[in-house]
Amino acid sequence: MDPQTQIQRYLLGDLTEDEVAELDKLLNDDPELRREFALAAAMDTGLREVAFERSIEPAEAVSQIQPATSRTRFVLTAVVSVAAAVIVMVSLGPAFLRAGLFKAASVATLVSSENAAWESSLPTTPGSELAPGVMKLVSGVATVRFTSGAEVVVEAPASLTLNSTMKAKLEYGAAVVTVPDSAIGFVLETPNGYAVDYGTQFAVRVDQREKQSDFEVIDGEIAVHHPETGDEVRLTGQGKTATISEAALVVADFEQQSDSIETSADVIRIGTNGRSTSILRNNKRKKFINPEVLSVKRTNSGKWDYRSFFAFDLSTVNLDNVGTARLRLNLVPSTRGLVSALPKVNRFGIYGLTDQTKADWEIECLWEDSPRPEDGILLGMFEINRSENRGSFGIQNEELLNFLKKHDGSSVTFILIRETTQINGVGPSLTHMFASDSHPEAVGPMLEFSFD
Amino acid sequence: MRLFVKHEPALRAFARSILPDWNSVEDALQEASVTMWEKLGQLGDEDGFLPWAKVIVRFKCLSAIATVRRNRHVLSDEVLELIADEAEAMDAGEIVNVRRALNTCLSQFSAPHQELLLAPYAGDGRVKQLAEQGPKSVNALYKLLGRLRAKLATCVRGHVATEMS
Repeated sequence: MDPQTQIQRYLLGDLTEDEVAELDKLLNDDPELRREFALAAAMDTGLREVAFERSIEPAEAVSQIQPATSRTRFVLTAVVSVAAAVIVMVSLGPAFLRAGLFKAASVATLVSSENAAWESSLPTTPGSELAPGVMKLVSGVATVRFTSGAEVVVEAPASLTLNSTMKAKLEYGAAVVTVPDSAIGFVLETPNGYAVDYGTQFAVRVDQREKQSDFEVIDGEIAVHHPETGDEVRLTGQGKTATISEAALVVADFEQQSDSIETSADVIRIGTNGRSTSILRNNKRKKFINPEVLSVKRTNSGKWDYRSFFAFDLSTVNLDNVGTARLRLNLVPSTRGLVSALPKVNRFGIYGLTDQTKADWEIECLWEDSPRPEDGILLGMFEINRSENRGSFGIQNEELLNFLKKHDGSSVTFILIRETTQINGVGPSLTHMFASDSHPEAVGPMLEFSFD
Repeated sequence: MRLFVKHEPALRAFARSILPDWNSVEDALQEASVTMWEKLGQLGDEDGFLPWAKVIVRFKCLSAIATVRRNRHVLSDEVLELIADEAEAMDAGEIVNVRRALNTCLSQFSAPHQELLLAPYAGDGRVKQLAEQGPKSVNALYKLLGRLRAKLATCVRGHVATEMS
């Protein structure tokens, strides 16, 4: 083993006693190797940071990850008073830096969750300590209290990234942020900019489609920053609002524009009530089908193909005033096959079943009898990068809406297949898995209707 | 506290050069941060923070070694002192350079290799989990990991050397 590898394996804790003794002697004799060792320790530290950052932002490309120094800079500038710093330190106490980032230096506590459904790698039971990470709230309302004292009430659908005790990012959705004296300087970032809270309360709403964020002061003072232009504005007092988009930062007074922050449009969601299943060509259901997930795969030979289908009962929804319809599926980490055997981008098709003779499928049906894509019409496609193993995917389009309206009051079946296969050579390709209603963490297939 | 946060990556890398596992590194850093807080009055000016903090971290790490030694094979105290001297001389800029180089160098590895390189930090058992998914045994994966890391280190060293010159 060359000394370089030996050092690396020492850091991994993978050397025997004799090998450590051998390395000890080498290091003792060679100052250059000691320098290598120090560098390897620094690299190990950096790798750990990268691992941590990717666990927060799994889809982010390597080159986009910023060095840790700039990641913490926001927080540093935000800690405006020594008092705040003291409180952060004291309140973090032993939890601070405790035993590695993955063993959760907790930054917040989940205080309450009202009818909340989560898609989150973090604990979702009220009272849980939360480490840095992403919480996606699919439905309901949840309150997160940061160790600094800042409190964020999140309204679904929303995605909140917890960065530290003094910083969070709202990717989309709505939230009300309350900041006591101990957390003055709390930073709430959005995709368009960020707000620093100088005490008390503000509301924020991130509209992904419009690519804009609205901030409104409920009480107290905030500063809103727009990194694109470098603009910064301070808003003081109730009703002051600022909207930031890619192009600009616009300040308004809520009094004159009473609907600038509207409450979220009415949305109704329905699930499959357990009426979902997967099927594979050899029908070896017991061995290969896990009822917690909907498995989807397409292979070159076709031998190991999986497809899934699921049904919604539309009789509870009045579709007359529906403006948009969305079919949502939650990807969960797969337990079968290799990512490396997949193309970089994988495409999935969702078909609506039109052949009514197939509509009464059974959960344990055979491949031959089950609904096929040919028994329906293609409603839409979506794509998943092979680097992604979690997240919400699906379709929202006119075809889906029309299909649903056509089957108003009855039950509709959707067939999900992977349109893309594998790339040649490198072992069995991954079977994509989406949560079914039985999944312990993620939410099963959902239809979302919004009303005009 | 602000200074501690600012220099945390450098201090963590320094502690890592002395202690053989991450749990003991974090414990030592935590103890060190408390001591720093108590003794902050001794610090003359901000520029002196990092060398001053390193003295405290070094002390905490070396006194933790005896405990760690009980359940792990560790380098001798003499060699650890020598390594600490070496690591103490690395300045904060160098740590930033390593971090920057890492981003570039990592991207030269295939996706599965990147996953393996990052696996040891995702908690116990992640490497084992990867082994279960593929044809290689846990032992073989650790061996591969050692080689991949040596390769990564060579790339990082190259980049850092260019930055410095």
